[in-house]
Amino acid sequence: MIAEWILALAAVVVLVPLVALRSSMRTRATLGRRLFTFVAMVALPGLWLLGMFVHADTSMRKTSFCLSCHEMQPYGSSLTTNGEETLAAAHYRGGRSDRDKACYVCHTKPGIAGYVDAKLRGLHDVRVHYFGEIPERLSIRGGYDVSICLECHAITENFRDVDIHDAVMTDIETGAVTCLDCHGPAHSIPGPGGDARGHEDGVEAALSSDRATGPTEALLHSDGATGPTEAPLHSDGATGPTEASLHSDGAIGLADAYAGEDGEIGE
Amino acid sequence: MSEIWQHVSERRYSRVMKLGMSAEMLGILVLSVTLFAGVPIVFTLSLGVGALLIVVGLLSWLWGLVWGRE
Repeated sequence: MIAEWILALAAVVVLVPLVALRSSMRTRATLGRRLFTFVAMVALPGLWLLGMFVHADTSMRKTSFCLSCHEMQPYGSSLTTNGEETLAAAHYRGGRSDRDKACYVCHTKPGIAGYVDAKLRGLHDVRVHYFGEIPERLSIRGGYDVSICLECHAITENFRDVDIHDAVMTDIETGAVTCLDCHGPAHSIPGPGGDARGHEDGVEAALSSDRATGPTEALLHSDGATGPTEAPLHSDGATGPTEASLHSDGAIGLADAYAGEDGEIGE
Repeated sequence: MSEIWQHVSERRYSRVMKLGMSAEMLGILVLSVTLFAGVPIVFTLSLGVGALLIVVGLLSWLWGLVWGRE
């Protein structure tokens, strides 16, 4: 809140020379006058505008901002209170991603292009929220981009030590397999608008009626491990979806990786 | 100075610059709304409109620099 008041005070500081300049427009254009015009019209407003953009960008990355729309609230709840160990909950409760920017971190593609894409998607979402028809089942347009996951996980030993990741990497890169196919669902949304498995497009694809013949299923089953449909979320939180699918080769699952030192996934 | 390059009249210069300053002032006020706005659409609109108005002010200064008084 301090930043807000500082910026509000700065707005007054920027306004004063502008008002002074405007009320004395007909004076001679001396060098000092031109300098003052530059400071009042360009330097101060420009700096203030920059500060405001930084502030606005920081505000819009906050989890609370994303959850301020009511249709997002079930997804926010799934991070904390639904009691199921979904992927998002594991990240959030385990503190593996910044809780204050939980939505932003996992829903923004890497790089400048990803940032711009997130802004454009956000604008679209605001438009739909106020003027459009909110679908009963929410989904990510174009599906979930696994490059978001890989940005953090691709360099970790937990990821590289799992042999099947190497086996499916080509499929991951081509989009044939997503992380959510094995590690989903991302969220657990109860109620008529959702189900217990989440609503990411990738998850929906993995959970569609023909999911048993999906590429991940085939890959996982070849070594005797269970596929995504056989790796549901466990109400008791005993094992995570990854645990069921990857443990046949001795690798640790994501849920294990996210569990705290005492084996609990929690606050 | 070329014949083609003619500075605008004092009156026009003053009018455009005042318009730009007014736009900037209004932009600052509108953009300030984002500081305390909790509603996403207010946040989004004030950010967009406010920034646009300030940019109009910056452009008017640039216009004055090119076409303004000697």
